[in-house]
Amino acid sequence: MYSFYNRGSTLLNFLCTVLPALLICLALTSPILLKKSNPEVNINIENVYMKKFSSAFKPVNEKEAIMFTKYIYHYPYRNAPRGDMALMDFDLDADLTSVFNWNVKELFVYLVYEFQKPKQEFNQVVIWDYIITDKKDAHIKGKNIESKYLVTALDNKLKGVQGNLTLYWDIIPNTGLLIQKSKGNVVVPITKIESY
Amino acid sequence: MLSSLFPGKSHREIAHQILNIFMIVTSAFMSWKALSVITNSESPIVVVLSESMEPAFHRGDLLFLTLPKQEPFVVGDIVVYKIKGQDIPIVHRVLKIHKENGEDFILTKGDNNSVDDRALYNKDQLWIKKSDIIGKVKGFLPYIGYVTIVMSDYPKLKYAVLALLIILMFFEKEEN
Repeated sequence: MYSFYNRGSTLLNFLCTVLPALLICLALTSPILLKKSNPEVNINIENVYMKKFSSAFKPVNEKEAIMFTKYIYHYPYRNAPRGDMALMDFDLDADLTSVFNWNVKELFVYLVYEFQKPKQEFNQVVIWDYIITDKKDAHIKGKNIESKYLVTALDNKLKGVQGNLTLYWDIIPNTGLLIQKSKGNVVVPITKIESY
Repeated sequence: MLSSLFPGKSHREIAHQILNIFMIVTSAFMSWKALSVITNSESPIVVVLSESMEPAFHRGDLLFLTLPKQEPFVVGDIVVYKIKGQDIPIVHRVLKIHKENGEDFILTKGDNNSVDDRALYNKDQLWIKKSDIIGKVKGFLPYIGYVTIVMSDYPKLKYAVLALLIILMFFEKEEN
């Protein structure tokens, strides 16, 4: 009656009912705890660098060299086409400490530049991202941060683009549903593109 | 012949056991397909195989995908896509989206990679389209999928476990 096989089976059965139940309870607390959070976000644009890339493009300063390298990396195994690119320097003060709770494994924080063009009705480009895994690091405070990724367009033309910069964060839980939130909004026009 | 393999069991009992095994296999297959219909994704549950999304997802984490028809893709979504001509699905985050005439042009990047995914796409390919995407990651369960990684790394173990399960099913005594 009470063989080794029986005992093992009962134990496994118990584990397979209690553990999922606990995990579901944990996952359900997430939205409730998140409702209480009040993140504060402040974005300020310091500078926008705009350039037109062509094969004759010779970077004259450090900033242009960075943009050049990023643009080239964007086109592996092929010659990069002529095209507009923009890089931004920004200040960011984002206090996401209250977003952290016991079911937050990681916050993936990213700045999104969103713009519209006559032909492309919807464009979103991530210009910067940051990974937070500890509550202590959840207050991001930076001056003159350089964006990691270039703003580019599908047809490679950015002239006259008027976009919005917003901070998003993606909450990756210990277990449960992934949640995306956003806050803050700054209008950043790309007015002129210097060409060569 | 079968009765000599399983002494002390009648033909009916053996047939019953075999049908039972088929029941388990078909109901597992049915629930998988039902989940696939509900989530509109050809593969609603996937196991993370690479380290390119660390520290968010580790090898062996289980991801639950959906692909609702009306829901648009936005930047920051973690998607699972399969490039035409390649077998292995990739779990990465959307870095850029451009929409032209209702068609999405999507560029992805792994959180743990230093450059975007264009080097992973086909040679003449700059963007992925909606048709390349299997699903959006909506839910997360850690570690459970590691079993399947071990199984595919050691195929012999997989067959051993399968054989053991089948043998156990045959010798299971029903207590009424």
